[in-house]
Order: sequence, then C-alpha cells, then structure tokens
Amino acid sequence: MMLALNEIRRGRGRFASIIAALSLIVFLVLTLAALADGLFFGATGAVRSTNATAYAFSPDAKGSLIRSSMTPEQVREVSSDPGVATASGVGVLLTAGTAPSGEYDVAVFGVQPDGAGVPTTLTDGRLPQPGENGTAAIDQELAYEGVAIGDSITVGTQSAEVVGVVRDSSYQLQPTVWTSLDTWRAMRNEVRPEFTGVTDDVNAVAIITDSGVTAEQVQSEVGDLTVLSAEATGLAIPGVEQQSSTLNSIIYTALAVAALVVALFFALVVLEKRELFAALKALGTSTRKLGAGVVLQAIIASAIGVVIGALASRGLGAIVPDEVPTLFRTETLITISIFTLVAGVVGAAFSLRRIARIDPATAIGGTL
Amino acid sequence: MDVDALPVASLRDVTKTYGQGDACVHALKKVTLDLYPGEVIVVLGPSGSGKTTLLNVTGGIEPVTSGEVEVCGQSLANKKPEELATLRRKHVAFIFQFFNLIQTLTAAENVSLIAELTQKSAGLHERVEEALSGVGLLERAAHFPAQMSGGQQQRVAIARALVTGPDLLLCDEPTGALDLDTGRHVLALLQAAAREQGRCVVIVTHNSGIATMADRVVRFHEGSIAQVVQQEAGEARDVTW
Repeated sequence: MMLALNEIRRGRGRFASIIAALSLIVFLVLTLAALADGLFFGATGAVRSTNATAYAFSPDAKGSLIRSSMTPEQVREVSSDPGVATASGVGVLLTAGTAPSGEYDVAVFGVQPDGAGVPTTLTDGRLPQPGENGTAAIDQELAYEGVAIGDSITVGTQSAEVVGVVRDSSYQLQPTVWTSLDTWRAMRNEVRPEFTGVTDDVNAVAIITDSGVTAEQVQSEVGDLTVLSAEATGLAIPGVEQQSSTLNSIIYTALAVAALVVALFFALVVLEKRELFAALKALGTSTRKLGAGVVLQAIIASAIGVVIGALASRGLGAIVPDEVPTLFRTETLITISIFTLVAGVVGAAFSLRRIARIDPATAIGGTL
Repeated sequence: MDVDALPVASLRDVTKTYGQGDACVHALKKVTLDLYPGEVIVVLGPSGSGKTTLLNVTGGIEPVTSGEVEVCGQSLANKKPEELATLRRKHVAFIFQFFNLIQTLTAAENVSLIAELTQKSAGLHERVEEALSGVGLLERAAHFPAQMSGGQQQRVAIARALVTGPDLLLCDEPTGALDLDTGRHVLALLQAAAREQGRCVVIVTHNSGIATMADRVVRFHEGSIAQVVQQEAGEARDVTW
C-alpha cells in the first residue's frame, strides 16, 4: 500500500494523465446525466409529483395524456374497479398563457382537487379547493419567471387567479398550471373551438390504487382501456423514453471508455514495471499485494477524477443558460461516482492477470 | 561457519530442464548441495552453466524438474506460489545485479517496504535505521535511488535484504555493476552478514576474483557441480579483479 500511495504522490506527472482523462470522462458523463435528468424530470414532473399511482387512457391513446380522450362513464367505470381507491378525470392543454409579467408556454392541467392526480409538491400558498373554479397553482418555473400568487394567468379570455406554487411539476418541458376541471375545460374550449359545447370530457383518469395493487392488476379489470403506472406514464410521454435511452447509451459508453482508459493505463504501468514487480515477487511480495496496490491506485485516480469532473460539471451547470434543461442530482452524482470507481477497478483488474503471470525469475540474471 | 549446524538449505539430486524434446535444455543436472549458516559460498561458472538457475530453485522462484529442495527444514515441493512467497519473506533474501530499488521511494522507504510485509510495525523505524546504519547509509535515508551512486544503491539493497533477518542471502552478481573499490565495500558487507549475523550468503558470479573471500567455492559446468573447494576465506576488502 505504501508503494502504491507513494507512486501517486511522487509520480504526479504520470498519474496526472490518467486523472485528467478520467476527469474529462466524468465531466462528460455528469453533464450528459444532468441533461438527461433535466429532460426527464422536465418532461414528466406532472405525472410523477402527484398523488396518482397510475393513469388510465383510451384504447387508441398509447399511454399519451394528450392523445387520450375519455367520457364520464369511463371515469366512473374505472372508479368502481377492484383495487382502485380513487379515480378522477384529468385534462391537459398545451397552450400559451398570459400573466402580468409576460406570456408563457404552459401546460394547463385540470384535476379534481379532492381526487387523484393532484400535485403533492406545494411550496407556497395553496391548491384550488373542491368546487372552486377560476383559481390555479402554478409550477415553480413560472414563479421564477415572475408570476406571483395573486396574479391572474389568462388563456384566451379565461383567467385563473394564482393561489399557490408547486415544484417539479412541468410537463414536456413546459411549466404547468393546475386548476379545476371546469376551468381547464373552459380554457381548452377557448383555444380549441372544435370542443365548443363539450362539457364533461377528460383526457385520462388518474388513479390511486389500493395498497399493494399494481397498474397491471388494474389493467386486467378495465377492459380495453390502457392502464400505466405513474412512472410508465412518464416514459410514455412522446420522446421521453427515446431521449433517456439515447443519453443513457452515451453515458454507459463513456463509462465503458473510462474502464478501457484505466485498463490501458495500468496495462502500460504493469508492462513498464515488469522487472520491478518481478524483483518484489522474488523478495516475497505476494501477487495479491501487488494487485491490491494497482487496484488502490485505480480507486484513488478514479476518485480524484470523479471529484474534478463533478466540480467542472457543476461549474458548467452554473453558467449554462436557463433554456437548457439541466438538473444536477445528488443521487445521479453518487451513482455515476460509484460506476466510475467500479469502472476503474474493473479496468485495473485486467492488469491483475498480467501481474500474476510475471515470473520472479526474470529479476535474476538470465534463465540459466 | 558452523559445520555442526543444520543446513539452511539443501538440494538433493536437483535437475532442472527448460523446454521439451529437441529443444530441451538441462540447466541443472542432479545437483546436491548443502548451504550452512554463517557460510559464504561463491558459485562460479561460465554463462549458461546453471548458476542463476541454482539461485532460482534454491529461493523457490522456479520449481525443480526432479529432486528436492529444502529451505529451513521446509520442502519446497508442492508449495503454492503464495506459500513460496511467504517462505521467501521469512527466510530468504535476494540481492540483484541491478539493485532493483523502487525509484519513487527513498532509501529508508525501500528498506521498510519489504520489512513491513513481514514484521509488525512496532519498532520498524528503528530496524530500518539499524539496517541503513549497518551499510553506512543512515545519513542518506531520505535520498532517492536516483540521487545515489551505484554502490550506494547496492548497499541500500543489502540493507533491504538484511532488515528482515533472512537465513539465506542469495546474491546474483552483486558487484557486476560496480567498480572495484565499491565492489569490495559491498562484498565486505555481505561477508559481515555471514560472519557477524550468521547468515548463509550465496554469491553467484562469473568473476573468479571474488572467490578468495569464500568459505567454499562451487564451480558449475554445463549444469553440474564440477568442483567444490573448501578454503580459508580471505578478507573481502582484499579481493581484486
């Protein structure tokens, strides 16, 4: 261990190269992860941050809130199904809303205030109360843009007074406005004239299942409707799963590259130190101890690389424009850090066989 | 040399071959040899005569093809590599022609590196100082190998070898990279290790001038012991070549 630590301490130039390479990879991975998280959380907050555990959609909607359309009868049918504790209609409208501070692209969500699908992330004020129309809670992003409690937010000619603020509730990267079903429908009918006269439809049904009941179990009770868990509903939002899988593929590839970089580095180190390792083996150092030293060096180099990469990534996050959806999560940092350390250890482990095969006899003269 | 003592190492009818068939080379042919505590043995012979192979099989670095090797009463046959490494740590030390010091460690750290593998940390610092003092390099304890001459590096290697208190010191051309004066100094340290500490010191060399300091001279020829000469050992400082 002393040898491994001293080599890093006194061979800084050599280890600076591997640390720099790992730092850049970690920086890349964390920045991509921040983008992936930013996109995912920005797209799915409205279905993750509510009290609903599942959603039911019309058969042809493929799990899309926007594409789905359901009648009050269907809502009642879902409500009465075994395993469903509460079921309420949900309406969604992607539109533009005007507030005193400006005009914003928003997603208006109509929900039943005492039902399912209601936000659980209130940070200020209150949510619309049962039977109350013309009021709304807004996503924190709108509050950051200058919309305040007491302001009115208007869609067409329909206005709602802002009474509360919720966080992590955006939908398809747009801030949300949470209002009653009637207010949502009035706004929807303003901007979508083809719905004029429609007074009782919803897009989907938000469900709170009984404890221990899964979306799949509810699905078996609802005939040809589609039931997805809240998490699956998020992934069914157009583009979300594709974005996540694309960015995750890049992240996994980068982590594999990290393992390869470490493997190549330590393969070169071991090659360079063959004679020294042979001598140490001849002097009684076990292969296990030599291998442990290399793995320790890999862990230290990876850990320093993680710290530098994380700091650089956070630094970039501080200057990246607000329009770029990035989210630096501690959970992601911990996960990526562990993966990088594991990648470093795995990379170094490739050298262990090479160390094991070093013949101590090569430390002594020729072969005869 | 204590002729009544049990041998530190014994080789019985040891044969070592490399390769097979037409390419088979007999590096050692039925070699029998006992190595005693307090004894300096100089092994002479031309290149390819089997000197180095003798060191390798005696130190458990290479397995024998046939015959038996015992070190400190333990047969090396059927021991796993890790068990052989443990045995070397406890009983055997090597001194190499090109020192094989670790360039990123100081003299003291090079010495303590091996010592801490085998011994408890209590008193380690004192033992390292004692070993370096024994080779006259205490004042250079904080120096790196690159800051020392070849002779000084070999003396550090001797301190490294002696700090664990080995019974058997196997030296491969220990003066091969040194000038005469420095070589004498190194040989004197090895002779002192035998005389004053009771180690068995085996020096493999092609330099016949070194033979005058040996208690026993073993000449190898084509893998076999051609001659063994028991003699009154001269002083290492009088060696010349």
